[in-house]
Amino acid sequence: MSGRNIFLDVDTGVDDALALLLAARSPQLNVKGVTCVAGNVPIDRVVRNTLDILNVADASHIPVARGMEFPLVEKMFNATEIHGENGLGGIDLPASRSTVIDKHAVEFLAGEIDNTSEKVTIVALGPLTNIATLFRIYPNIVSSIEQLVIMGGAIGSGNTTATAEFNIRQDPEAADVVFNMDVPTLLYVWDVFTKVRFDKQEVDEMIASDNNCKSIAGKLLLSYLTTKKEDTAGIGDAGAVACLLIPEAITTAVMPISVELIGEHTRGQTVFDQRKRKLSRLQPKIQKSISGMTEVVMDLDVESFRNAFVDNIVK
Amino acid sequence: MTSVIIDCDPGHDDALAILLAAKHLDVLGITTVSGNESIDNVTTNALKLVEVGNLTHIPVVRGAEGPLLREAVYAPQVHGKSGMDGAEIPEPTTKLKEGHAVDFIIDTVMSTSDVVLLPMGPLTNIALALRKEPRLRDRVKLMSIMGGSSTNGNITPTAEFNIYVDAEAADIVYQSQIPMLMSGLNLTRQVLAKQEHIDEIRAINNPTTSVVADLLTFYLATSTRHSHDGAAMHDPCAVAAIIDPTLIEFEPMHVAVETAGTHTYGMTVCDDRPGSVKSKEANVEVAVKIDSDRFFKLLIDTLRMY
Repeated sequence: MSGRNIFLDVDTGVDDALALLLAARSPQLNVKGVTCVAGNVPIDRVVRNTLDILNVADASHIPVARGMEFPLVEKMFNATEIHGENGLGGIDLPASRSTVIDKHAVEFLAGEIDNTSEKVTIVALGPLTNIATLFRIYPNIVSSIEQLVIMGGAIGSGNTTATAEFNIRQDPEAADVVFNMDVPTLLYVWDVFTKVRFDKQEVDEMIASDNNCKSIAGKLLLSYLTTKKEDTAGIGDAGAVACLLIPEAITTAVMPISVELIGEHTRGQTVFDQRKRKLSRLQPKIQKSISGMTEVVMDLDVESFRNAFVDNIVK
Repeated sequence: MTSVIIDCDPGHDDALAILLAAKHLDVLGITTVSGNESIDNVTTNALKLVEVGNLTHIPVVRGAEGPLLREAVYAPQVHGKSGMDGAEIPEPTTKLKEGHAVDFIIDTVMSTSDVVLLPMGPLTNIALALRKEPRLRDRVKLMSIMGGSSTNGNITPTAEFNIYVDAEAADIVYQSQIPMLMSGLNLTRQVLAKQEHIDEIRAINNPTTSVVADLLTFYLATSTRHSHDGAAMHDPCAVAAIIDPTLIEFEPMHVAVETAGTHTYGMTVCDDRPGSVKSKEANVEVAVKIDSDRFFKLLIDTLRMY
């Protein structure tokens, strides 16, 4: 199979399911494995949903590994109010006959990356607990990573709190570890996450499709329309996967980034230094040092993303 | 005419704010606070300004010489060593009003109805006044402050100078439940004075406007050095919000001041998420948009009155 080698780290989740469908069906991508992390729903539910959705995508050959059950420091909280109790918006998928591999997600990733001569891309769509643990146990592995695509953080307002996005807020310490590593990172932030949307009519058309993947994608989107009571439903995490398919459709900026760990109101905020002239160099007493640089998706061409999603899930 | 107290740390933009306010509002007093420069410097600057504007009937009262807890931070990179560099203004002969700014604020608000506070520096004086006389909460009609930001900061990536300098004081003020209009950097950077504004002001050619033009020339130069496209009219925005509220659009938001964060100390955390997910009641009318052309017309027309 040709295509770019990627690993997906997920907390499936309605929009993780959309991302899995997109990645598994896209000929441009060769999904070498999927690792699960607790996030939107508890880890066992993440594993179940991941196996079942890969089955829908006719991709049960892709190894699935169970990963971290809790955040490093933060207490566990889920997002079942968005994703439903089962994490898939109440949609019952046929149970996959596949099971998880007999290796922890972190060991699986370390072994796979060590065994391949080519550099790999990791797309992390949940809290960064698995990735941080991987980087702490195997720090040298970063040299084998071509790109780390992360859905997380926010430039403007957050979703979990006024300033923090769910994935980062769920495990701020893990995010801090990851942003401190010297890995080429593309950050798909909450600000763009919400932009790629389909309306009710488009969703109904997807559901009516003969193609099973498209139909399931439509049902997943419909659950968002119902639970969020909005006129349109976003593809969320699937947009982070689409960045690999149509990199020409995104606008990025490289910015210094830190994760706020201590703030009373701001824990889990991704702090970007967007000022035109950085005062940090001049006033080290005032400005705490910034963790690292990251490439942030500032904008995207919505129509290209919508097309990339619909076109690829039916392939 | 609305009665106001201007609490400030002049400051180039404070200077414009005072001159703007004095022709439209009943300015009961000008109180000073350590901020852009030391309390000595900003107090001298305030006295100079009332002389420059022939406003010596307005009492000037000296206030807090530093933040509640932290060491003072000044902004000479913006305002110069004096806090108001750029114009030759004679040493003032006008005397300060005796007493402390905090007591002046308390006495004035308790004895006068419907006073509006216009805080334009760190919120040290206002916080001390609220702590010393809790009844101020019910007496102050409104506060229109210049401070904070609903987007980026200036002194740090997330914090605006006035709030950063005394975030603990700001926390007290933001939690006071006094009706509050907030003109933060997200707003004030929409009104940028450029060379053509300075030329227009200088052409008015009265003794006040030539000083203003000199001050603005210095302020524009430091702003340009900081890669800004013009000199932001920070403090005058908070005054304009009272003189002509139709200039500015506001959105009610819950705003909290971060006092613990490593990277976010001094940030005004503005909850501008869609209504359904907000967990706390709005406590601030956050200014989000200003008509820049009309603002400059108001400012320049006012300067013609000197």
